[in-house]
Amino acid sequence: MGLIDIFITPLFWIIMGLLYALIIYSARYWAKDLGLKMNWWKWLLSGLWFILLILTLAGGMTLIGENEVRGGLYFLGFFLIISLILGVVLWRILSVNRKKTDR
Amino acid sequence: MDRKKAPAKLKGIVLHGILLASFLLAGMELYRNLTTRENPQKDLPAQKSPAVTLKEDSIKTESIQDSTLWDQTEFME
Amino acid sequence: MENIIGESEKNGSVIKSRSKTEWYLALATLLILAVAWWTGKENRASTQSQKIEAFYPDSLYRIMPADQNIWLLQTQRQQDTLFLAAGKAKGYAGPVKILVQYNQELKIQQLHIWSASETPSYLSKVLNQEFIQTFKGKDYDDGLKKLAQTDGVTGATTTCRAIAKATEKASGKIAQYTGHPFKATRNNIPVMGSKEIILLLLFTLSMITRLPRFRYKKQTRWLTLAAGLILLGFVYGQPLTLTNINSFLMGFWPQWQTQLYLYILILGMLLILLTTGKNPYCHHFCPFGAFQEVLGLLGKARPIHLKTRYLWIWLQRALAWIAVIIALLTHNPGISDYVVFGAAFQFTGSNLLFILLGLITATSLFIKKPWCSYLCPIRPIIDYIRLFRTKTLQLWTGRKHQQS
Repeated sequence: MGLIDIFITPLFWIIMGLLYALIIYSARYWAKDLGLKMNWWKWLLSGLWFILLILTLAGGMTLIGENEVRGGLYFLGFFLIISLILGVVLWRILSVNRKKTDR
Repeated sequence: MDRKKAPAKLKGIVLHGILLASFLLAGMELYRNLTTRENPQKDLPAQKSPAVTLKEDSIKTESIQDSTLWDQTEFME
Repeated sequence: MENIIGESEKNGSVIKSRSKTEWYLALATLLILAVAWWTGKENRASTQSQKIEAFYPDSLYRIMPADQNIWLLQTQRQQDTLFLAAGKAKGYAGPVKILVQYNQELKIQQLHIWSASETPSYLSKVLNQEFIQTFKGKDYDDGLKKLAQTDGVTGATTTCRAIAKATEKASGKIAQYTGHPFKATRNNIPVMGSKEIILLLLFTLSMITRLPRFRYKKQTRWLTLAAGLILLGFVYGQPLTLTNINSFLMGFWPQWQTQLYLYILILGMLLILLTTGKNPYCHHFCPFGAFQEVLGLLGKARPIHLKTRYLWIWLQRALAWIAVIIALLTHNPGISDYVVFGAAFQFTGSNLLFILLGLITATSLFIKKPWCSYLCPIRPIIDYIRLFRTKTLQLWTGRKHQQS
């Protein structure tokens, strides 16, 4: 299948890498906009969660690209749900004493 | 006023969408179970056995369709 | 003021006519269920005699009945006469019937599953694990008793034991026919294990929390939910499923000596529901309910109040009703089960169930117990039984009132 080959093309992963870099660069500003009081361990937790998300996408999409579509979808499905649950927990931790900013 | 109503409306659409998708999945699972008959046979390779003759009178030659294959009472527990 | 009174009178009459409609629908459902049960039973009896040719087609084999559930088999090429014997044992969702092929020395050559009512995902799990291969080459009395007592395939223990037990029964028949010695496994003595004790404790705790003066209701409820999730869900993998209810409706009652847990669960629930009108299982220790509650706690889930709630409730009931009817008509308890519990706790299920599980898991973070509120088939069944209980009580108290 031609469409799934996109997940193993270098260009796709260059674009993904650029996206990740943009997200990491903008994280500081997002935290400020959302009124989050960040410190070193909150950044650490956020970083770990982001790494989990990146690895999930990388693993799942690579499996799909290597023609293991079913395995890739199961991998993505399972770990994305885990990432979502952990993301919600992370948000609850980060938003303690959150200052709601006017938009 | 519209800016406040829009998120609530969107929320309602999303919720109804989730519920509808869930019902569709459950219904499809039901349909799949009904239409996909699992082949319960898992044949093992047959082994060659030495020929042994049986007494003729031990073999009944009535056809398979005439015989009662299952004795219901035997399996009542 | 008059408008408010008028509005409440109008709402009252709407509720009354709705409950009347529900009652007539409930009666009609009962009749349809009875017809479906009877039809399913009759259909099953008539199709049982058709299938042996599916395993041994006429073009290749010659089959001759020798005795009750025993046949002699000859192939077209060889003149060797082999034996076929049928055996049956109680599986998870109903009887498992197998057909065993023996050679002249009574070694098992082949084993076919003639019919089974197990949930398709679990049966294919057993077949994919090649559990049946373990019987190949065994003597008619070699290790079958042991196989009947071992776990077999993880998560499908009951099915594996049923296959082994049915094979043992078939072997017993062959042994008797050919004059060979055979010692059958004795009937199991009732087992009250940790599973059963924990379940009884959970029922007891759930009733204690109902007491008006009991102070630690919230804490006890969380304790029972945690026990339900971890023990009943992940450790024992035995939540209440639609298959269990269908099996009981069809009279496929499992062996109480080895499946005491199911009897305690279903009869305990029925007893408490009929006497108090309460449903301890769903509220206090349903494993999947607990799973959703934990996720809801993490995500601060709230119950949703949809205007179309009534429609969704009836859709939930309709789906459950269709599933039960299908099971009764096909005389197969496991065929119409669409619950996600197997996928959640034992990672066993079809792709569709896993997708549904993912959707419910994500939704549970934001909406309180979406599966229980909108999809679970157990809830409509509980509501159905409760409706009959309420009506019976109304008739009873009405009669008493008239007499006094």
